[in-house]
Amino acid sequence: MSISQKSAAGVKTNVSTKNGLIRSGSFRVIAGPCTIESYEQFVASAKAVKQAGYEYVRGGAFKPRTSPYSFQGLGEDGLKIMSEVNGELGLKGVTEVMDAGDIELVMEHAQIIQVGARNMANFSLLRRIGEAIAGTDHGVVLKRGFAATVEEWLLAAEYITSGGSENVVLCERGIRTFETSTRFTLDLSAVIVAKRLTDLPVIVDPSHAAGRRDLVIPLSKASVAAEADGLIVESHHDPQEALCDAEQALPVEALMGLREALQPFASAMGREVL
Amino acid sequence: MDDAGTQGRIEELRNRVDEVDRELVRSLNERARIVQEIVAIKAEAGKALFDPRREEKILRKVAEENEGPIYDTSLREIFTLILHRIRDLEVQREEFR
Repeated sequence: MSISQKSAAGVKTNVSTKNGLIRSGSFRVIAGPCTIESYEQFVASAKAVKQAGYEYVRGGAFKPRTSPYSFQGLGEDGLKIMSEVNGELGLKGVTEVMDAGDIELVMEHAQIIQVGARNMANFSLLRRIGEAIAGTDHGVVLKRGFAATVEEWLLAAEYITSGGSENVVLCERGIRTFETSTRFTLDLSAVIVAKRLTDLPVIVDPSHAAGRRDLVIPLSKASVAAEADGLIVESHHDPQEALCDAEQALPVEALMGLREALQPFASAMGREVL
Repeated sequence: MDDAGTQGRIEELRNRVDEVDRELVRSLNERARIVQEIVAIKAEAGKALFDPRREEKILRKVAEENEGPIYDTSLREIFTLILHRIRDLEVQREEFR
């Protein structure tokens, strides 16, 4: 039996990953900056994540920017900053890998590998990641391509899970529609449909979907109600100065507020915010 | 053939098409009922609905047994839709049981 299958017995709100990223009866929040810009910036953002009581911090070292002339991330230097800071603070890191040649390097410095929406259909990368993480505690957050159907997204996940890993998490991050008031349209139905069909946990990225911070908390609440298993949100200690996606980053003071805002909804769903 | 002859022949063929359609509808519902039985057994055993390996096996078999004139690729498209609609029917049913 493939591990990304779903029990026919109905929806499961108690899915989990073997490595503890997703735990039964809980709602995982991953927060942190879009990009690792410097030691000072990342440590400030990571401390705020820690203070708000979260265990996982995100931060990009390899950035899939639309323009080759935009800031591309610090690469290996960024990864070193992440693992150093996380080691000091006792946090676990989530960061994107774009090139199969960097998988091992990323695994040295972060617990969770993110596959971005633009790489969801990069099947050779998915397969390589699946092989690399099999039998380890490293996991994958697989973002849905912004023009991918749920079926395509689940099949992309199969490329990773067929390697044997039990630590794969799906992430809905908005799809392209005609709407321009948000950057993408968050497709919460996809979260529910995916959970109906598979046992894979599904988290939501309201920051990239909305592209604006005022929607992040309301969409996060909606994600809890839509049976999501967690969130990945962007936060920055100084959004004004952020090198990318400044409009959607929550200021770090809002991270504690996010937890408080989510808890009543999580409780109603029988979950605890982690 | 004169006009009436043409019309009569088309009418006759359309009746045959209608009969085939009736048979298709009967067969599709028969297929759905069998899938329902499988889903019930899977539910009992805690097994999954999304099963791309089995799906691919079905689609290959369909193409292998296809004698045309429909293209293999077209049949795969048609059957993918059939598979998914019947599967989704079951997903929705589960929710409101």
